[in-house]
Amino acid sequence: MASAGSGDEKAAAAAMITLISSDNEKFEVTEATATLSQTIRHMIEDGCTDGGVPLPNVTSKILARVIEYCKKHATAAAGEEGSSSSFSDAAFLEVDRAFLEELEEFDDAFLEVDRATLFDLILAANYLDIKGLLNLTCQKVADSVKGKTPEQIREMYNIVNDLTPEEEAEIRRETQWAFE
Amino acid sequence: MGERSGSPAPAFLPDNDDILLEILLRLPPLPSSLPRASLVCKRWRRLLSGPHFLRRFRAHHRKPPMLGFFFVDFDNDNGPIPVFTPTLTTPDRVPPARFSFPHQPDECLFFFGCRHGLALLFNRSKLEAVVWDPITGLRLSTALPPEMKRNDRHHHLKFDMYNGAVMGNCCSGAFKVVMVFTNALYGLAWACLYDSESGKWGNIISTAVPSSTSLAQPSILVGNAVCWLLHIEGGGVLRFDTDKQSLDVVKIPEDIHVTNDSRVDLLRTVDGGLGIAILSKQIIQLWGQTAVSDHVVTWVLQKTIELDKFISLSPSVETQLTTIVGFDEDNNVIFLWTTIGVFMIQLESMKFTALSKDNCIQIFYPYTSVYSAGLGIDGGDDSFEML
Repeated sequence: MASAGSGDEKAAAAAMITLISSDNEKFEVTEATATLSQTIRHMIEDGCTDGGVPLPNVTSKILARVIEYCKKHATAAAGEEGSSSSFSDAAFLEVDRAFLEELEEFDDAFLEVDRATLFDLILAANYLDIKGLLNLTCQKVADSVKGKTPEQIREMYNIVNDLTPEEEAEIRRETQWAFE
Repeated sequence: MGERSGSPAPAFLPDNDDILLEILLRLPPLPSSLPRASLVCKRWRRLLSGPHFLRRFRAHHRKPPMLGFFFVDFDNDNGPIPVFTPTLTTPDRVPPARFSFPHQPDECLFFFGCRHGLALLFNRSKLEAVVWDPITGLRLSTALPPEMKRNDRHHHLKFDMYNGAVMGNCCSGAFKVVMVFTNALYGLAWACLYDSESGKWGNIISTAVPSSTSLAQPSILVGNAVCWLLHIEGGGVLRFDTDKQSLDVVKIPEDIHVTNDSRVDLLRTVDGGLGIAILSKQIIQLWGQTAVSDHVVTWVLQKTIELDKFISLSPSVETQLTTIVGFDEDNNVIFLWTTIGVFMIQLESMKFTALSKDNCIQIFYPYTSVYSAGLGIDGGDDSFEML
């Protein structure tokens, strides 16, 4: 488990994948962790991961975070597969609930990043096709505009208002109450 | 933390329509969300008014919020009409006029309640089911099958009571309607299912019911079954299975004590099963049906709510008037009428919310939906299919 150095490389190597960030940093991860990304899963299926998987769109800083997420969630997925046989089993549900709570806490802490990092994580999740991470990060942005006026949303995200006064008036006329 | 101190460089949302869509899909399903987002910039507006956005938005938010409730205004000069009262706060408070019913002259309609964003009414004289989408304003009528009409004209089989239920499909815009009728003399109930996708009514089926059947309360949807309470003092539950198109009566076991001064209401339990609420002497008992095995079900007392621990009613004759007047099956909220006002009670959190005082005891029909009007969205896939 410790370091993949000498000896019986075959078995270990089969289960490990090397990911290479845009700034050429190498990350060695298990296949279970890597295949949370559909993009990488397809690469493995096509047998084109020898010599590492270059990810020219993802920096080492972001890739490290993404791997942190995948490691945690890959463990969660493995745990679920192992015990999900009987749904009515109360003991199982109890374990499951504790696990989900822990995962939720992890996710909350994971999202404690500045906006630029959050957007980079969204881009990486989209590029690597990691559904859970895309959901988590997009939900964070959606939650941040909850209850905000259009003006406040534009200010938060540096969006230029390019609507014509006529277009604005049309939307406001239909749903004036939504802007009160 | 950041490598730089001082003010960070401004962060821009990813310049990618697919990602922006993923974000917009996750906006809360509250009435002000989409109008506000569509006023941010052209790009957001374009994405929100795209052909499939609304369908995906509805599919993403499986549990739409309660926007408010309807009650029937019987004092209206042109016949009774459903009137909307919002329960959300500003800016999600949809004004009542926005959901005003497109009433036609000289029509007398009975209101059977709402489900999946649609309302069902019944034209007694024409024997037509009327489905109304308060958000788009569309109303569509469909005549009952001819056999039903024949029954009605025959004086021996005159229907005493009727009720109905509508079920919508949030994604396709299709809907189903179940109509039920009873006749006290014959002790029978009939039911029939309409499917907007085929545009046809199914076979009329019947089952024996007690002669005291009143079918006065709105339906509850439990799984694929639409249920109506036969009588406010109990008497069982009339159940129509929309998959099998079967009709039967579910008995309420005798060990669930329903006394003369208690009132029974149907509800859907927190875990999605058939439930009943029994209100007596300021105490509400919530009973739920639980499966013991594949074929055996039992009723279990799930919760007891002592109302005087939450609200103070003077111990007088007044307390006898306390009545459950509505139930939101999507959000597990009951509407309770008391002499000091109407309360919404969320059955999981036990949160009591006071609504305005109402002198008249009347049925509250909760309305839950994802509000989507006024986005410059052309009807498209959003409008339900024409009959």
